[in-house]
Amino acid sequence: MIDPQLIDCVECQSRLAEFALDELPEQLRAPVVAHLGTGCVACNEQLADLLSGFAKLAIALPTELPAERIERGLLNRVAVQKRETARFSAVGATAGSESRRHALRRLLVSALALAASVVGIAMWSAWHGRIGRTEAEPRAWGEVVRRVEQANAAERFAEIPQLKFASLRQPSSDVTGYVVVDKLAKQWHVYALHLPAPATGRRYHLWIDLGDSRFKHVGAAEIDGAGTLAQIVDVRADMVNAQGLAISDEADEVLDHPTGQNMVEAPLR
Amino acid sequence: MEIGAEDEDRQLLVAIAAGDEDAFRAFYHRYSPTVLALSKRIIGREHDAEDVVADVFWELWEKSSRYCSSKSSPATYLFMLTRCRALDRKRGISRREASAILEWMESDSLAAVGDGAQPAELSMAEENRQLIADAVNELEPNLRKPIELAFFNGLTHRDTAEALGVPLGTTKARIRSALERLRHALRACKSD
Repeated sequence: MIDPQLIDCVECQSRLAEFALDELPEQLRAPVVAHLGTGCVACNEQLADLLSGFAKLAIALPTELPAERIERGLLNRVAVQKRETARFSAVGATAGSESRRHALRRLLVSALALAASVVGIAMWSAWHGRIGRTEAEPRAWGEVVRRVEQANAAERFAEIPQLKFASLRQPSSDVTGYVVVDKLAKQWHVYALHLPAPATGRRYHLWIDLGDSRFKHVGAAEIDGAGTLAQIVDVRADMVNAQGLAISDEADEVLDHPTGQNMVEAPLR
Repeated sequence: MEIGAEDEDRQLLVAIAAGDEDAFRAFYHRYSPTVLALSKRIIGREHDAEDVVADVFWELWEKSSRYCSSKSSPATYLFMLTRCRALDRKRGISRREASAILEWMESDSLAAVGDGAQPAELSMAEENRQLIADAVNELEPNLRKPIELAFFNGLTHRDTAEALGVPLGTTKARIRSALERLRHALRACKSD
């Protein structure tokens, strides 16, 4: 590790262009950040100049107006958030628009964390209980998850309309997991265990089921060697009423709908 | 595209941070065409580029209070945010990646640096926009190509050098020269 204090202005400025473009490796970046953090006016000004120069490349591009639906979707999302914030404020939330937004968020995150902890503990217990299990035990494992899901749905999520909870299921397999839908943050938290290893040349992808056989591909799934998935998916405003989530193994060319052999679905009830 | 005065942009961001929907709409109308153009240039797919526009402006709505005015103009911050999110999408990253440069632009730890030395700005009038476009378009190919590969394609300087078949040092020098030329173009705009 290079001592940040050893970086002088010449060295720092030689790295600034890559730093501005987020392409500097960590071991070279840390000394630059440290040098800039000393308040060096020359280097900070040069970085600001570089950023301004790169931004001009954007300005020089020929422009076109985005589709109206994008603005409409954003404004709807803003309106929904404001409505929810106002509703929360009415029951005694803190004042101030910034803190109001964040106060509701904190409540939801707390509920999520509590629910996730309960489910996580159950899953952890069940996972460790798998050692030396018999053939009958996968059913017991599934039952543990189902009971926790039911408990959470009944006791916590039911009182928070912005949250939905769904189970991931694949008949006759060990795959299990759950999806927590956070409508306010427009995020889906996806957890799965025991996904079978995809065939060579294939990898898992995530899809949102929009109903009527329409799917939205949201990207590749990040799965570890044990077949475990824990991923947050950002969801667009026009997908909040989606019908479910699917995880599917796909070849290099991803079509506009899932086609894999190992498909797991979480229908949102 | 209408590029507004920088002070006005800063006021809009302050208002957005306070939850002002009209300010958000005004900022969107002002910059969404460029954000879309930049996203399309980086990703190359219309639908994904539109998603990035929605994501970027939603992120701005939620986190505009993070913007640090001593580090960059609102437009520069917005375009760097757009570049980062578009490259994430192009690379198939659904989870937002930490960005060192965005963290730096959002950090207020160096507000004192701005004393008497404001960062270079993009507070140009609409009539100057064409001058900037001309300056970019008039860059010689050997200067323009490296900076475009680095900015739009997200290549490291080393990858850019390999792609162009020129030494790393030459690539860095050409990118610096290109940026310097663009800086002069901005000065010319301001002195007009």
